[in-house]
Amino acid sequence: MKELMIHVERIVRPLHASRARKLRMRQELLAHLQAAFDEEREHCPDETTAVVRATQRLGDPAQLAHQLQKSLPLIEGILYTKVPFHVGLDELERFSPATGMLALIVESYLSLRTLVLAAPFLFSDTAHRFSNLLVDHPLRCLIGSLALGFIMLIWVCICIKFATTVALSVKAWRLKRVIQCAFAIVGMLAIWTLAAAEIAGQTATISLVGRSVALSSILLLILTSIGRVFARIPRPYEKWLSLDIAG
Amino acid sequence: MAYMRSNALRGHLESLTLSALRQGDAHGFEILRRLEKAGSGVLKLKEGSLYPALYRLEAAGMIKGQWEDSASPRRGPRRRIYRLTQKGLRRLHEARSEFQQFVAVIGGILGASA
Repeated sequence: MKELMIHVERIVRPLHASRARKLRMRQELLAHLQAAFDEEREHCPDETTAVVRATQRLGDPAQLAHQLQKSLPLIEGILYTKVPFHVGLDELERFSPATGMLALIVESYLSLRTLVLAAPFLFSDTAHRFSNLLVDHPLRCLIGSLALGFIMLIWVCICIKFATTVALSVKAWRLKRVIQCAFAIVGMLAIWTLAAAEIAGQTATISLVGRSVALSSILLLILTSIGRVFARIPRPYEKWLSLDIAG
Repeated sequence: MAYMRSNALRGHLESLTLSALRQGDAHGFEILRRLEKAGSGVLKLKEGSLYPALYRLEAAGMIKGQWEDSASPRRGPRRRIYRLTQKGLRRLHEARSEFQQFVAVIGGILGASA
């Protein structure tokens, strides 16, 4: 029943939690609410009144959402909190494990490679060889790699978002989206230029930038294609997200 | 008869849930029924507040949840059935001892020992 689903969605939608966990909560709370509704219907012939009573029994949605959030692991709450540009694990998860995994592999590789390029700025005494750096300065490598990795993860998340949502919907093109896309494309170009320069052991040239553009486009195309395939698969949570919970 | 509401139960809900599951595996709605029945109608709590307690207990390994068999003849949304684990059973025994001690001490001070 839609009214019961809306009440459940008011509780679950604001939570910072994985989609799988939220879906489980939705199903479980709906089963409970349905049972409460059936019980109320035995004493009350009016369906609307029975819905009101059943939802009142469950409790205030905001209060219950707060209690549920507190019952979740803290780290999950942090990971699924939206950050500027609406990038978070939630985005990666929505775009299917395959796309997310591809992005993470690319990101991990590139963050390490970029560290090598940044070596002259980070280490005064250095050899440019990656293996030497790892042996001589493991801690700096780790910290540098994590910092660069985090920045690139944000870039990759934006790219995935662009590839799978914005690219699929012309209606979604608004100023904010355009800024996101521009940021994503510039980010991709920068990453690939740096990586390609390092791999070739050269300084950036026009030809290298050209190759970077080509590689960026290919990656974006791959992500878009994967995103399109997965976007067609109906997800169990979509019917929940389509509910209007205002009011 | 005055109802015992959620505030008075705070801190005890998890132990009460374990106790209800001692009677056998159950889904959330059934656990509430058992609690209300055991409370002789005095126990009243917002039903939703049971679920955060269930999730905490499950995360702590004291109960284990499993979705109802999809071949079940029952119509409607799937329910999650919880069962008590060995760890949960041990915690229930501890909670009982702690509560007996609490009642003995506080009851003695208030002059209303059990």
